[in-house]
Amino acid sequence: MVDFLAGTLTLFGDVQTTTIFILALFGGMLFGAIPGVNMLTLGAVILPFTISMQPDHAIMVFATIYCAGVFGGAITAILFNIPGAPENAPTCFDGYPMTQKGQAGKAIGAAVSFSALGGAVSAIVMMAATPLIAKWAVTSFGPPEIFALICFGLAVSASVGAKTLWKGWMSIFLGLAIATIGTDPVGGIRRFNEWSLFGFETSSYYLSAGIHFIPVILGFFAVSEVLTQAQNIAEGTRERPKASMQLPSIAEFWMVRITALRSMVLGFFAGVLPGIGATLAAFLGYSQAVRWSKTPEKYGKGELDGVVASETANNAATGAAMIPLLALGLPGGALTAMMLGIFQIHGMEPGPLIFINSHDLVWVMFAAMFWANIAILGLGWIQTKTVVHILRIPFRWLAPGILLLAVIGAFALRNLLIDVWVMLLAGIIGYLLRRTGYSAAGIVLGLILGKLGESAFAKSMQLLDYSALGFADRPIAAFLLIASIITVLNSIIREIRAKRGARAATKMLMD
Amino acid sequence: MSRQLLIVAEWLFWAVLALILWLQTGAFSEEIAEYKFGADGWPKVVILGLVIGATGQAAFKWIAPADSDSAAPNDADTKDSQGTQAAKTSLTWPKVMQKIAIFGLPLAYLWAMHRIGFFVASPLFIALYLYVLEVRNWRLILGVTVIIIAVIFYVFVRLFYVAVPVGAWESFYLINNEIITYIRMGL
Repeated sequence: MVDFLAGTLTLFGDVQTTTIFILALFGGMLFGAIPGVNMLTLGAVILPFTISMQPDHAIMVFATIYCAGVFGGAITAILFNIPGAPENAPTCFDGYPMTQKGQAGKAIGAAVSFSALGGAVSAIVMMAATPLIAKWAVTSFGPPEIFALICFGLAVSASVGAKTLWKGWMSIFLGLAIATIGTDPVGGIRRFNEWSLFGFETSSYYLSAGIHFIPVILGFFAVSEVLTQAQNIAEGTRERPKASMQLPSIAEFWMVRITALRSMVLGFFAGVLPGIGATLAAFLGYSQAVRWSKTPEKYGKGELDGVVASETANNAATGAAMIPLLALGLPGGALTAMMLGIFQIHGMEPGPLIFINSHDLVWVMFAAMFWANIAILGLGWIQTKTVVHILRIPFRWLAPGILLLAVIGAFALRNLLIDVWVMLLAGIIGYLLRRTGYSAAGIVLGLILGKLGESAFAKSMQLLDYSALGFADRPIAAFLLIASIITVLNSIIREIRAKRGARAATKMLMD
Repeated sequence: MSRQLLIVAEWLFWAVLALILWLQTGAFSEEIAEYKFGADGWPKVVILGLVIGATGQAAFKWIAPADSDSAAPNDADTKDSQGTQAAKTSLTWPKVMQKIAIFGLPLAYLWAMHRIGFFVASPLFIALYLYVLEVRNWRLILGVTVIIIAVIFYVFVRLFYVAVPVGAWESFYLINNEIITYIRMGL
């Protein structure tokens, strides 16, 4: 507690530090909310300037950007169906339908509150238990456990956004298949770069880089939404969403407490594991909210619980991601890798000794993350009152701008036009998916986890000497795999029961 | 088309896709010294998953009652079907052209952007897309185009130094680079 107060005092004790903190906060929120740039862009831009900064300022800036950036992407996800970052994708599922129902204020209000809550609680746990949790997570989670966790993640998320369980699984397998394009993770052999069919042959050098998930997300969510709304304008059926300022009530906050708590635990757990991070956290949080709900059919149509589940989980992962970085020097993602770089630039080595050698710096960072989440709460409410007014602008004026933003976002990723083509193709496919009941979310999840999953599987097989029974010797991996199988069987049984129920109802009607 | 025929058609789509993918794995079925399953092991498992999923889906649909698939459609589906009904009653040539343009114009924009660059293609695209979306007041088209272009150019090109395509045709390549220079110099 004394350390935290000392860190807080350093943070707000002089004007320069406080100003840097506020600028990082606004920068993170802004970059998180604009499709095309993200918190990594901001991090990359300011990384060279950190050399001349004080070490505690440099680390504090990145920690603040991380917290604010993960929240920022929720705003565009809710208002325009454009997730600012992959971890905000599940926020679209219910956030955007809420906007269409005239409840944008309520959705953003919930996102603000629960992002702050998830992030703040995560920061508190991070302060209390970093060395302990990091040791457990890293020693207990090898490739077999990561692979089993990914299987579990896919199993529980299979039906998210799909009309039937089978369509959900087909979507996930399609995503996994797209993820195999590029190069294989062990030998670096090019896959699906050269196509040969009925004597027709083609190849693309650019495909060896693989299909990145960001253009696919932009296509499925932003472009397909513009195409759908544009078709509705052409057909004269588009209803303009109301720019409602109604915020969530205390009673509504109380009703989602279990969802928030569950997402906090899931988000924190996923965030600790290197390479898994906030995206899986958000999908897990959302899919578990659907699974445990008494009214799962309401999800995807504007359920407040859905926004809460996703936003709590992805922000809960932020504090957790710092744990392996600080305690073991293992970055879990790109931004934490930049932070590792800053430590090294300033002659420090993250690891157990950092709590002794750079005690003050660590606590300034902890304090910055905690207060950044509290500030999100204040600034977010102000933001809610202002950004909702964007909905008053006619959609036909915004549509070309949204498409342009998506184009810039896809191209800026790797400076490849093929990413822009992938985005547009994903947009057209996404438009068709909406009509056929397949799940865009499932494809995105398969694509994101496919590469990680294959890599973890290959390492596991090498580690376990190609024996699948080797998983049984590792309790966490065995537990997660059994849980995955039970989840799949359970969902198939539920599907069969639902079909039988539908058949019985049809028969009764016929009689 | 009858319901059974639709089920078979959907299964065939996935089966043909899986078959094509499976055939392509032959191009990279190389052995990797340190990995027994090779580069094609994982993709083949995923393709099998697609086939099993498609077959399971077809079997479930086949035995299920006819209306169970369309049971409880979501709001978007309902709106879409209402829209389709409305469209069917008033499908005129201009409307058909408009619907084609909604999809075709972004494709044409990307094709053109590669050749004439982002800075030349984008204003044209915005103005034309606004027209396709039934904005007919030319002052409005001009105003919205200028605002979007100004904001995007300023934020992304000047502030964030984001890279954009500058065009493959030489004259347009030069024009685009000149524009970038002007924007970044603040002129």
